Amino acid sequence: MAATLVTLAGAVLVFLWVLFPLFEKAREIPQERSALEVQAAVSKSVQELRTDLELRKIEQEDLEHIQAFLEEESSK
Amino acid sequence: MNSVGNYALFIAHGLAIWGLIASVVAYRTRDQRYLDSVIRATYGISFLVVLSVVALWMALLRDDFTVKYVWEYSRRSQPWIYKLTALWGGMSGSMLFWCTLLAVFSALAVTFNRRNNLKLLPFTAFLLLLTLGFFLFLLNFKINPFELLRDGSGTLVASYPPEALRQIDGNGLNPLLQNIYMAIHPPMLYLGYVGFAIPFAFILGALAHRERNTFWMKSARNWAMFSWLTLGIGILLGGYWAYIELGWGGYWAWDPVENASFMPWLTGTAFLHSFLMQEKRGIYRFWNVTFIVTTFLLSIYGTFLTRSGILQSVHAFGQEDPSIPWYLRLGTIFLGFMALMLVVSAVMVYRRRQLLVSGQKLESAGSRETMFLYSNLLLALFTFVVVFGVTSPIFYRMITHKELSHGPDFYNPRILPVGLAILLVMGLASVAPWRRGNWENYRRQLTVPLLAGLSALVASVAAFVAGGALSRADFGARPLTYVYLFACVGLSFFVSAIILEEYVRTVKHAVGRGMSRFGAIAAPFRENPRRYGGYLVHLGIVCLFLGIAFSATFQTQYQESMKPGDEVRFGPYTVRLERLEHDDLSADFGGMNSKRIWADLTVWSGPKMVAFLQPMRVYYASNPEQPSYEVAIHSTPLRDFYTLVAGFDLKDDTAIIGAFVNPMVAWLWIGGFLMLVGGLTALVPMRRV
Repeated sequence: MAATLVTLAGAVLVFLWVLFPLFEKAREIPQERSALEVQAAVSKSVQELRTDLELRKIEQEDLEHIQAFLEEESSK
Repeated sequence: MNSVGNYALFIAHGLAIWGLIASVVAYRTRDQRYLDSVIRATYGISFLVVLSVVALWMALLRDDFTVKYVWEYSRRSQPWIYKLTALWGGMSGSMLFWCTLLAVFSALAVTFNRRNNLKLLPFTAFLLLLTLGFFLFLLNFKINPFELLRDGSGTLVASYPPEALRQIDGNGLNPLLQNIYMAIHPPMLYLGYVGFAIPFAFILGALAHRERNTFWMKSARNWAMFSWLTLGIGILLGGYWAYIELGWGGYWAWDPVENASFMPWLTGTAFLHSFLMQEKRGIYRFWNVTFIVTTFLLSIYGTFLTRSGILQSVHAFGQEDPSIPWYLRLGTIFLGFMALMLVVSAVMVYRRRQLLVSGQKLESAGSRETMFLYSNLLLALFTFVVVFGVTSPIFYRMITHKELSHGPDFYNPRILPVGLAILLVMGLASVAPWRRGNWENYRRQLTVPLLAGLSALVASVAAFVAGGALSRADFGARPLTYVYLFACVGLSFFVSAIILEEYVRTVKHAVGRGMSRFGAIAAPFRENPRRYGGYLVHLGIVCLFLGIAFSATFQTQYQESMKPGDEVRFGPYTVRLERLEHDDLSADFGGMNSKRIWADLTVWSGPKMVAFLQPMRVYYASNPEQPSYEVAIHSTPLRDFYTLVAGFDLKDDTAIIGAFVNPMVAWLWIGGFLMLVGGLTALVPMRRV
């Protein structure tokens, strides 16, 4: 009986904690992309392609083309 | 404590329902208050399901046989480690474990993306909570792990025939599962199965929130890599368990439940590779969504196959009461959930189809981009064969009411050519230039690997020809097997040479940049961990191919009845049975969990003793009629000498000793180790140069 009461009380507390944000002031979810994460992904891809340039698996012109594409994609 | 576990599951289910409603509101209104509530609901669910796991573990450790699950899967004399692993020994416990992993992963994924990717979370959380809600529904209303066997006064409350309840100290865990590898194998598989839910939810979440390209999403990439790695290690551990525990000398039999874990691993592999192309070139978006949705659905399908009892398998540990109407059976409920997720995914892909058009064109049939397309196609074909092989017997039985099962005869002829083509593309994709398939580039990079591959091919054919009449007879009996074997050897050396040559060239470049020789050796892994980690994984795959090819082609089997002092020749070894020993088998088990019969064997290669082996048969108190095998193996890189006690007659002091000579099986485990190291390396964040 005691365990049941404690659990019920716990359930009420958990639900109150979960519902608590609804009583705060309304605000919109930010819609921006993570600039940091996007930039990190572009730099990482370009760094990997530079290794390919050293190993002659990509032409300089193609590297520039891909880099430009990635930067364009990241700005959309 | 049981009631706490039970209530915790019930409240968690309530939170999942609320979270689902709030995530829909957050998605439609973009109101952050609802999203914050969803995030809290996710944390709450993970806390509550962890609490219920603790409650079940407490019940198992305290031998609380009032709980039906504890009585069914534990025993008073069971070692504590197997009391803990009994959590995933039965259907409801393993569903609780699945659910707990998903809840914890969801909470972690939400936490990691709370700052950077908040806008994706409403629909992502919706999918995760839908999956959690499904498992919590099952746990609360269909397969409750806290269901009571007896009430507080000791009266039976679950329906069991009286003879089944004679085991007053618990029924005990299936003896096959009382093995340390089986203690690790299921959690690894589950980590993989469950982990794929996160990239699935994030990629569909990104689509739902009109994100054009997901190339930057660390969550999708890293979770997929982690899940792929754990699933792969889980599959290998399962193979090792089958090898040492089932006593048939093999590690893979195309068993439906083995395949169940293999299918999402294959599509996960395809996703990881294809996603690389999306990162670099923005292409294959549709492929990637398809692969991750398929991987997630196959993970659910794998869990369903293992647990529903729909398939006969040594690995299937769930059976359902046939008197239950079909629409209430676990299998039907699982299929319904899979259909729901498929519909949600398909609708989302259809509604956002414009976002999946990349606008980029493949410019050459020999470019790196196109190589990845070949790889996608081959892996999709491979998966299709396995899915067909696993699923067709189910439909066949439904239509004809007859049993059908597909084994190596079905899979090998279809899979081997595809597997070898994958090996070839794996090598070519590493050297293929970006955007254009330049012949000069191929010539420059492939000269040494081609020479290496051809030399290995010629050497293997020469070694075979040196076998004379014996080889000719065997070739006549199975010519295609040898063609595949030679092709595998040639391609393995070809791929390895490509990887090693590129590694050496990268190290030389690092030295050219002024780095010390020692620093240059580690430089590729530090500066480009994902690529060189990936190459280590590829080397691991090559080892797997070689191990499989040789052990499957040249396995030999022996069996002899022996008395102590007898010596018998088994292939390259002479075996002497020194003693046949056993525990007191006549007495009751008492407090013991198991009793053993074992043979002391010495293994000789010429005049030199190379190993002392002690194969056993073990009688477990939980299933004393069926002794399980404990094989003993003398393992070298060239071959495993695998021994077991196939039978015995203690009155006559005789043992039937079985043995297998399995060439190059150790290469499978070496390959697995390389895949583990490579996978972990690929997860290391890249260092800016």
